Amino acid sequence: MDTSQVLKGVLDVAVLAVVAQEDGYGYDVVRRLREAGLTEVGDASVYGTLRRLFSSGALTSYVVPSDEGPHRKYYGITKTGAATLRASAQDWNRIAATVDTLLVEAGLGEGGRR
Amino acid sequence: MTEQSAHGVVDGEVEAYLRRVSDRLGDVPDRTDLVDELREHLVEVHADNPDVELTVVIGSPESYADEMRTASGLPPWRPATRGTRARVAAVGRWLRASSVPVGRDLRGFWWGIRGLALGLFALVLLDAVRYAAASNEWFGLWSFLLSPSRAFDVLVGAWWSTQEMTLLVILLVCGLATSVWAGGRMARCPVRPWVSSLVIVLGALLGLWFATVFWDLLTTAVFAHQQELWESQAQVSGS
Repeated sequence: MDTSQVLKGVLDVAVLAVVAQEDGYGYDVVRRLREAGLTEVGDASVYGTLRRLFSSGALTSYVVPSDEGPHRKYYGITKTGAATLRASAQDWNRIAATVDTLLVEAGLGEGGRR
Repeated sequence: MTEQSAHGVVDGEVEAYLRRVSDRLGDVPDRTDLVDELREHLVEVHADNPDVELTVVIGSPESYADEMRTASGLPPWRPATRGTRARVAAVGRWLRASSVPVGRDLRGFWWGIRGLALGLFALVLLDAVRYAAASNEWFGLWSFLLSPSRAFDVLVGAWWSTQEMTLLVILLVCGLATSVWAGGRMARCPVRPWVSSLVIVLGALLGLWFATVFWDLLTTAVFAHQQELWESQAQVSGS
């Protein structure tokens, strides 16, 4: 399966979920997504997603000065973003459960025959 | 490498990468903020991969910008519409556009020009060898041919005063107009390859004709140049 295509569909939810746990700057979000298992996620896709979510009001941002390196632009989730995440989580759970059921019935899910 | 120079290399690589990304995001209103944020990011990416070039780690700036555009929900990249380069590119696109068939139609003319140049070159080359072999004066010939500025002065000065030059300009303009006129009509013509070949042959024949005039002027200039050489050599040996 081309996981990059699947990732594109769920990147909004994944990014919102990561930022909902804790505010983060761009590269930090990329790292956390990869550590969570989304190793194929691209830097540019994450930055583009952050930008789009920010533009839509799902995220807020603030700059944190740094003595050691460049200033970092942190992103945090807004009430709108949290609502979007809850709705997206419901959609995702429903779709995932449906696909799981289909795979189990086909003998390919967890505890499947094949 | 010292720490300072290492930073310089990193900064240079990051800035070069950013410039190309920025060019690709030329139509994005808040491009400056985006690029500033990306600068922080690239510095960190480089810090995590100190021995690898950025293009290896995260791909080309253009592909990076395109991926960012897609994820941001921006329209696909198109060349800028402002500035000199954009205007030149716009003219190129206009010429290539099928709705304005000038660009496509210039191909016939361009092939004719190539045929003309080919004929001219072939005749000059053959005649140059023939002349040099007959006169046994290879040095004079090649010293002239290897002096482009002198050859240019002589030939351009002579040609602008000849009727042939006027005729050549008229023929070129007619060829250009014919190419534009016929090109669009020939686009869907099944015998188009044959017509293209005909244009090349006619161009080559035209080139041969002009080459005879051209060569007369060239040989005269070569002879004058040889006279100068002989005179200077005679002066040197006499003194």
